[in-house]
Amino acid sequence: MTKRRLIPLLCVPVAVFFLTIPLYGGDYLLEMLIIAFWFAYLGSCWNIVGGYAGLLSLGHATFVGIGAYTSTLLFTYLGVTPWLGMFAGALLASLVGVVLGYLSFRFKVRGVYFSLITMASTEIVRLVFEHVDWLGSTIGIFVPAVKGAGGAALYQFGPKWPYYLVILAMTGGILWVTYLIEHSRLGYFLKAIKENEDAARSLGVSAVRYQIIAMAVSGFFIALGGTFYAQYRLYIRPDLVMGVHFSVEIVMGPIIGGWGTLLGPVLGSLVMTPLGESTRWLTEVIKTTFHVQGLTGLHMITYGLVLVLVVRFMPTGIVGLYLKRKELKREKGIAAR
Amino acid sequence: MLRVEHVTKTFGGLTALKDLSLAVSEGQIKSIIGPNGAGKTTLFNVISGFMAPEAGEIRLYDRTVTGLAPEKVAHAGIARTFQIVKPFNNLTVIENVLVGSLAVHGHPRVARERAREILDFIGMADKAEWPARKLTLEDLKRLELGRALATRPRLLLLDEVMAGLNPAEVDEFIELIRRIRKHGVTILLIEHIMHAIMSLSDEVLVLNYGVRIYEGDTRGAIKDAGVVEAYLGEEYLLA
Repeated sequence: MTKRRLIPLLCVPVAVFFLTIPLYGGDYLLEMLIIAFWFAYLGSCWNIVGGYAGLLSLGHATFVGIGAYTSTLLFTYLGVTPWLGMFAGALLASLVGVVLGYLSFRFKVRGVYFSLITMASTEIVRLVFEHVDWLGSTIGIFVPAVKGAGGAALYQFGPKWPYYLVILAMTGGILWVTYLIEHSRLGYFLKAIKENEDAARSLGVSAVRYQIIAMAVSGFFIALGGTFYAQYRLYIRPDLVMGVHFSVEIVMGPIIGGWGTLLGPVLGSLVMTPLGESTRWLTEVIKTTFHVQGLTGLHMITYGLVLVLVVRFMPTGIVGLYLKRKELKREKGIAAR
Repeated sequence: MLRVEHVTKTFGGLTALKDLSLAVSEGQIKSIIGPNGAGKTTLFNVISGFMAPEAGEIRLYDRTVTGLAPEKVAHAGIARTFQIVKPFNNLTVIENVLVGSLAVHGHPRVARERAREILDFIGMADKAEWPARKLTLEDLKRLELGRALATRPRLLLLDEVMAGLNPAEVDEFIELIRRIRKHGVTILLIEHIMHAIMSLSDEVLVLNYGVRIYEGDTRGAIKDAGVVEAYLGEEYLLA
């Protein structure tokens, strides 16, 4: 009981810590944290489908792309503020999620085959966007920058700290949503279906229905992350917000931090992004000191290496490892009694 | 309450159920016995919606449930257990039961209360917070039963719930099944343990190669020449 009270209390200093960073942190630190929390947010959205429902989607970049492109196109062509446009994108992504989910689950496409279908679909969407001119093709789209005070109403800020606060709030929001799902009918049903689909169905749980709902919810929220990226960079291109490559990057955080757990994706991203950054920095140092060329892929190699090590030594991620330790300890306690 | 009428189910060239009919009346405990491969589990799979029969009809009260998806059959009031237990391993014992009760009561708080009652009923309240993967076979069988009960079934299909248990545990299960019946649940039982069948069943159905070779009261079954030849064996008569 005391522990249950302790955890929400612990959230306060953590929140205060992250909220006050803009007061003393420089732009470099903020940039890194914005990207880290952006991945934390995307990973948490993916986690609803990938972690809780156990459906390893490698196509979630599609939803991010739909979010980014819908709000951006609505703004550039019709002048709709991205604050509204992001919900249009979210609804569209949600719809695409439902269709994709229906086509997969209705026809019993599971496991590796589901991963393959989502991979293929996200590549198709990326290729379409790269070849249609009014969608910007491979050149991408620049979000028209607004000068002066009117920016905030159009989801544009001069300094970095407002973006930081937005993505921090979004991450907090998705954690709250995930927490609610975890303790709801949907959450229990998803976990049950993941554990044993036949048993869940024999108890009256429609696997297809709840898996589709998971896709819809996850697609809706992750698309909001797409709009965030478009507004932060003021530039989008298909290979930046779509495709398998980006899908895999979304999945990295949850897998390293612990998928199917509340805080796993956040922890994973907060570890991975700085790690990637420091490798990039190290690469620069090596390049300039030793005058060597062609080390551009080094941070990707580091990512790959970390992934291999994590899958080998802690397949349930950081949080999973912690939970296992705790359980072992408890069992020892019982045995000692 | 349940009528199975002229049901046929084949797997390729093999006829698992051949023009099979049976009836279960309200409040009854009926056992299905027969040698391995007689079609007992296939019958359960057909009734519970996991397999669609090629021909025939299954009716619960006045409603036909033939060809409905398993989750729809569950909502119609038929729950089942599996011969090889299928626990939700990484959920706790109470969460396992909760999935069943949530499927009928939308509200998590009501469903959790119901799940606690079920755990008391099956005698697992002390293990509520255990993960299911840590349970012994006996407890897994109990949990399987409790989870099915949580859906408030009218008809419960029990597929060898007592297989693999020691005699003392079998006696506990016999007692438990009697208590379930007292709550107004009709029970259809697949079992090999004759002691359990004899002490529980109102009626037995004997299957052999997908065909009914006997249906009626239990005493009659053990004297029936066909049943003895196909399933019980000569030794049973002598013993």
